[in-house]
Amino acid sequence: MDKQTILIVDDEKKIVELLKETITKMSKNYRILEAYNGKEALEKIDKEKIDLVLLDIKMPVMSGVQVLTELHNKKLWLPIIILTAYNVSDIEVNFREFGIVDYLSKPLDMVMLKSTIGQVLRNREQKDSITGMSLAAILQVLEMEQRTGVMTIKMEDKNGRIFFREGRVVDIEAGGLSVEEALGYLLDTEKEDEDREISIEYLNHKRTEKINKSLTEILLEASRILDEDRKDETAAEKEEEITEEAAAEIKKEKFGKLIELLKNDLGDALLSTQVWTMEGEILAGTEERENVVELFTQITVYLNEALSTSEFPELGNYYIFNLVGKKIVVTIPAGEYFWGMLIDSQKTPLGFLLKVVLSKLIDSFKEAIAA
Amino acid sequence: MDIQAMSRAIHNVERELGNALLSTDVWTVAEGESIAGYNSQPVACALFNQITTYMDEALEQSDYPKLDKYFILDLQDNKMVIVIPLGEYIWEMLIDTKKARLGLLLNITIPQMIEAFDKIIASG
Repeated sequence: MDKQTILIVDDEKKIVELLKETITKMSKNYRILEAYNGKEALEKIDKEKIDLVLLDIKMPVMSGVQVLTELHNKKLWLPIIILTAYNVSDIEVNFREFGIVDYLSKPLDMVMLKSTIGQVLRNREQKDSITGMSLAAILQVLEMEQRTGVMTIKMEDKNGRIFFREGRVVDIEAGGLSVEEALGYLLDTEKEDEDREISIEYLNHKRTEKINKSLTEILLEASRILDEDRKDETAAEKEEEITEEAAAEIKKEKFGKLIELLKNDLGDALLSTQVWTMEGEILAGTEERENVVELFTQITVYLNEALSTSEFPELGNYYIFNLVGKKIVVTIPAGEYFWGMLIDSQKTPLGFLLKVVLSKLIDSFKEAIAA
Repeated sequence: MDIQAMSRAIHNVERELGNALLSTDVWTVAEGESIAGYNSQPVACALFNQITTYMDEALEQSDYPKLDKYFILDLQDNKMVIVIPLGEYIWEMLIDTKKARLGLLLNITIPQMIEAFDKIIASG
């Protein structure tokens, strides 16, 4: 069995020695670490796996209060027993938010100390790691058994903590969310399949009761919030889909208009034309010739690769092939889109095609793509 | 091939295009090495030899018409490549489109080049 580690934090060396001696006599399974101010304590907490902290409040360099605040800010929950010369009832109310499980007044009652440490560490040993159960089901079991403790839920993106006392959920923490939002987030069933770890420590924590609702009420409210969040997400996704569809339609319409312009410019010299995407979807054209689309997509990819790996400049706005049968084919590649046209070269001089027709249409084609 | 006749044809193009002609080469498909040219660029010979072979094959294997007299690639930085493949030979030229009179190039110079190239190769 792994040894349990107790961190003693006190600026009085005599007290540290006394505590160390007392705890070592209690059990060989306890490992003791020492710190003489808050700063040293935090360094040890960062580096080591600590099971219990015995913390003095009044210390130089960094006080016990600062340690508690720092741990709270880091959302790090640890069982802590406060050692104090102050009147416990005076300070207790101020520290309820922190991970305090008990207070012991100085001068220390060693019998009480041993009993408290023993109880905390026995409970910690019995920590449950739960898999295969929904969070709601676990909470219902804890309610039935009227347990007291802290449940830690570790998830990929956010960790959470649920404090329960005698079966009642008294507080929930999850990255600054409200109680219901936090529970909704932790209950999100889609997250249950993810890499999630739930562990429960049955400790007598002093957490203030912030929730004045039954478990059923909390679960219902959390489900309602979760449903709303999901509806919002679905609505946002739908809106995005609609926007994309609308943009695609606008593009198709603009491509159609460009083809009309091309027809007007070239008349019967234009034999066929298509606008298509890299995936081979024909968006506009005089006829659908998938084999042509595939052929010129491949040729463009080849040209781009060949030129980009050479010392030559990369492909510009178009390329033209003079083909057998007095034809020329012009391809205008623009990112993910292509515009191809087969032209009767006897009816259109090349100079007119390039200088007059294409120079005008290439810019319009790019504008249509950007629409 | 009559190299002197080819050199004369290249000189004619050089005269017509002036400083718009950046480079030109004629090479054999088998070797891919320039046999006549102006500002000869061995890299261009190898690259466009490879590209022409690919184009030929791609069109041959499709049900599309085959490559005939020439192909033109518009390049970035205001450049244009004109490639005229003819049997075992290929004539390529790199043009500065900012300086070239494109109408003259496309409607007069290129047809003249093709005609001259045809004649030189036919005469052996």
